[in-house]
Amino acid sequence: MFSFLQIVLLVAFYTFNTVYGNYFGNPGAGNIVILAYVSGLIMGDANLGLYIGGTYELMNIGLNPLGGSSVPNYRTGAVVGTAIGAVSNLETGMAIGIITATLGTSLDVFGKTVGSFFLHKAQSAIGKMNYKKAYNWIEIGMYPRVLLTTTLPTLIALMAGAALVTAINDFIPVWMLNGFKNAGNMLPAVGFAVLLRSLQIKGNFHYVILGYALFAYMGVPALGVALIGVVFAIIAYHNNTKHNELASSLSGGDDDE
Amino acid sequence: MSKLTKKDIQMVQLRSWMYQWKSFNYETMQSPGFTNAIGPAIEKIYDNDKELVKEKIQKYLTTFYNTTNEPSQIICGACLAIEESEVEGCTDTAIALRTGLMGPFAGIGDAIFRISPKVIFGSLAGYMALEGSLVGVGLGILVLLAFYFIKYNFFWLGYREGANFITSRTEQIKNLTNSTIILGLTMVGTMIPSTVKIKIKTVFTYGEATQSIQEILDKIMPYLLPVLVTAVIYWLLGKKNFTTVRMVWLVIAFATLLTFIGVM
Repeated sequence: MFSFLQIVLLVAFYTFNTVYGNYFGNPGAGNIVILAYVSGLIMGDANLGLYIGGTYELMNIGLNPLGGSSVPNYRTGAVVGTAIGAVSNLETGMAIGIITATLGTSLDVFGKTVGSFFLHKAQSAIGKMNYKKAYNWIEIGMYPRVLLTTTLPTLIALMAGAALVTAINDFIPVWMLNGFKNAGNMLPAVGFAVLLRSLQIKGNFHYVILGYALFAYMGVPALGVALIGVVFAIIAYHNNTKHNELASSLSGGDDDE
Repeated sequence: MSKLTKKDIQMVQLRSWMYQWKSFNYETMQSPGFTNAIGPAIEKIYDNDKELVKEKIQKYLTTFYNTTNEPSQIICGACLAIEESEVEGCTDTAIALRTGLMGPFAGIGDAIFRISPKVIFGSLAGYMALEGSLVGVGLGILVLLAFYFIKYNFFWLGYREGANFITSRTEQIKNLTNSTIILGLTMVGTMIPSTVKIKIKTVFTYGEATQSIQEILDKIMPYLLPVLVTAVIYWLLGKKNFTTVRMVWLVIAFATLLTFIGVM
């Protein structure tokens, strides 16, 4: 199904992307497209990569692993989905990608649990004043999570690729594949709901209505809405600043009396 | 006066830049990476008192720490400045500052550096990719470079001004966060109808006449189903035991079921 070279390139590129991101930071917007696009290039179908990457990027918008929480890993989904999509078809690739992404969550939890081992190793090394050793434990303590969330699942999914695709073609009926496709169209809703839960919606809900009305009734594209949003944000900033100045000058006046 | 050379401080900054995922764990979260960043500097500042170094470094490692990467640079810079003062008990001051700031910084930092850029530029990157263009991705990379610039300066800001900066600008930062939230919510309002795609296939037939349910819904309000589904998920996520991942599985199951019975 995949040549040895393809597997090596895909796994190496994705692992590099994760390690780079862990150390220096990856783009919060567009990284999934990059992963899928390069995977597409490796597989010889860059357009497929762009399409799958764009779809997953949109599904991922609201999903932020804040406060140490874990969310579906659409980055793994993008690599695996594009690779498998290139050798079978778009629907199969998308379905396997979504499933890989969702299963990846528990691997992330496991990877963070393993981190405790390295914390304790570092603590005991510091107790013995062996700081160099402690820092080394801390340094390598990053890699179990990289292996668990990135390298291993991708390797396994690609090696099992042929079996997965055969299984899907032979055993999974068409309605189920269509079901995954429809789920894919519905899944961004989860991201937006999570987002609304994490942003302070109380007292600000009318801005959601503004955004909805601009698109649904007036057909303003995303960038246009962003510009209008910026205007409202600046107005609010000025109003709040004035309000604070007024409040502090009033309370300052009280002090003088 | 200072025992650290400019190079030493720059090395702290470099390690602090890369601190976040080093031995990340559920007990103390980002404390290992932070300790790794500041530890070698502490060894050098207090190299005449071995016991004190051990005590200080152990404190940084065992105290819980978790915040957003970019503003964490301010905290690291400020902690380094506090340690350099060599005041007795200054590690307790530094850790109190670190613990006190990580919560507010995470709230502000996530809104400005994680959520907003993703909502605005993630949607552009996604849509442009669907149309076969990488321009949106390029914008995402430009945003990342801008954040690199900010992140670099944050460390020196914290190092120069210590805790002063944060206390003197509290109101300004709060207003900025509020404005970011306004922009974010406006974008979510747009993204729900433009990204979530749900269409009902079911058609009623009365003899010769047919009536599509989707047409009825569209007459009530455009994109009614995406809005309703998002609202229901929002409500469910407020319930106990409903994690994001469970929600994703539930949506997959629900969509597959509706497809099976021919509604979607």
